[in-house]
Amino acid sequence: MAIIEAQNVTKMLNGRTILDRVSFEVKEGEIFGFVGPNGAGKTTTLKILLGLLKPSYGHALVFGKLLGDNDDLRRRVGVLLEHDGLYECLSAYENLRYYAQLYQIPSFHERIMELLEFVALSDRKDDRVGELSKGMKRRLAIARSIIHDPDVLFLDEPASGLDPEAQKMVRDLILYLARERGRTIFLNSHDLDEVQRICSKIAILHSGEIKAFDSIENLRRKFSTHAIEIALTNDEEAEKALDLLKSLDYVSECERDNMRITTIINDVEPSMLLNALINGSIQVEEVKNVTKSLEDIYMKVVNQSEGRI
Amino acid sequence: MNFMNMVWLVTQKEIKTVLHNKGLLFAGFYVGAMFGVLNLLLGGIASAFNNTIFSATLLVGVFVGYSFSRFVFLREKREKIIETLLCTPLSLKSIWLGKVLGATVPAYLFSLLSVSLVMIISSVMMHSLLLPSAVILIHIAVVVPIFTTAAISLMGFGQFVLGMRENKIIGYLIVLGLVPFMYPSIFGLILGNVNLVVSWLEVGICSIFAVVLLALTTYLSRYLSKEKIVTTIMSD
Repeated sequence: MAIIEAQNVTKMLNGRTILDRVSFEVKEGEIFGFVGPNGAGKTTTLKILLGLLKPSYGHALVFGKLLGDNDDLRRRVGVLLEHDGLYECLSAYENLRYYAQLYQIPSFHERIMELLEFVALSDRKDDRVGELSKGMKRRLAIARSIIHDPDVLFLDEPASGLDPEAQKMVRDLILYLARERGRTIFLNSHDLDEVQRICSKIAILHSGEIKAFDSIENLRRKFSTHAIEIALTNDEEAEKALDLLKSLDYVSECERDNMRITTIINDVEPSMLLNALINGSIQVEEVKNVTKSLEDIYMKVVNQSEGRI
Repeated sequence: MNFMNMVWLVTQKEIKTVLHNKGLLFAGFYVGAMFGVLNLLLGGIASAFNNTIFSATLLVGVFVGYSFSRFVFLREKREKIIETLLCTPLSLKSIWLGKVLGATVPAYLFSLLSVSLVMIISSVMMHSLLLPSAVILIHIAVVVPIFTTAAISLMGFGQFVLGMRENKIIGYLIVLGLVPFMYPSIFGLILGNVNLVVSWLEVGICSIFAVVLLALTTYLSRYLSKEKIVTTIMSD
């Protein structure tokens, strides 16, 4: 069942098209990564899904309904936007208590203490939020966003401003919520490494349009060009191999890094490349396929849409 | 949870944040004391006692209410906390009303503070206890809260739907536009009597104006929308 659904969402603001027929769906228990460069329209999409903005055309639904019009439905949704949504003049505890009351959590004291413990802020519970560091505020904001144990969690750059340990805490939390509790997570992020590690499905947004939408594995297959890394025995062999590879018409890219050459081949099997090297009497130490990272896929999509390749 | 419980939650939080802010409290106390004492000294104690309370309560309510509304509405918008709040089960109307009341209650308390100061100073200087007339008591108990609520509602509405730059101008315009209804001498000028002593007529006119203003703002609140609030944050 699709928990989050965008159908041809278009948004025009001041005569400018911010989003152009954006469509995707996120199923129950999925961790969905929404990636794209600055200004691509990620936050606008998120705000439309949350009902903060209305689409000019199309529909953005959560649980099959418009979130903005449904006060009760918003109880099932947790939100962590770019800004922490915390009151600087109130203490960490008072902030969580306010939100706990808004979500009508019974016996909220235990829940607040549990979350403060989880985000390692229990010893700072009485400190005003204005006195906390940026990372601490972000951790507190994460606690705020899950205080009511939401079924769906919308996160906008959740790890920004966090140290590596806290980043891991956020990743583990997201994975726990999705895998152990079956929660659905919508993750807006610039951090491709983070997205690659935890997301089951991603969409790449560029200039307001979805350029790719699938699981990371499927995207790897879809955007795969055979990237092969060849390790040579010495510099001389590496030089010879580079000259040879450049002369082959099925090799499209060739990059040398000391005694290693990374190359991309088109429409032929890797064994053909290996044969060419052996026939050229080049002493090869190792040949291996290189798995494309999300960053490679992302760059390819962005470059394609900007007409660079 | 019903609508009024939600409103009360927001109101409580706003009162708490206002009371936590020492700078804001100092400004409120300063305005309360300044308007109360200044009006008294300028008008002459015995003759202007009731007139002073009439204008001081309204002036303090509106001016203090203006700074509190900036804190409650505008600051939350500028810091984008409002976006998170709009994603909670709170309706936009309950947020708006909760904030209006959250700014009005402390602003009204400062109005009462200015009344107390005027009474204490006047009584000490006249060596006898001076008490407001019946019409001024009604004014303090009924008209001032309605007038203050109406003014804060209007300012809060503007702060929610307008961009940050427009707000600076509009806030001052609203405050200045309300001044004629708060000063008996200006009021008197409009009515053709500069030496006006506040009576049921003036309090009645003032209360009708406050009710009309409140009705207008309640009507305008129908045009509040999440999109308007969110997009005017962007225009900063």
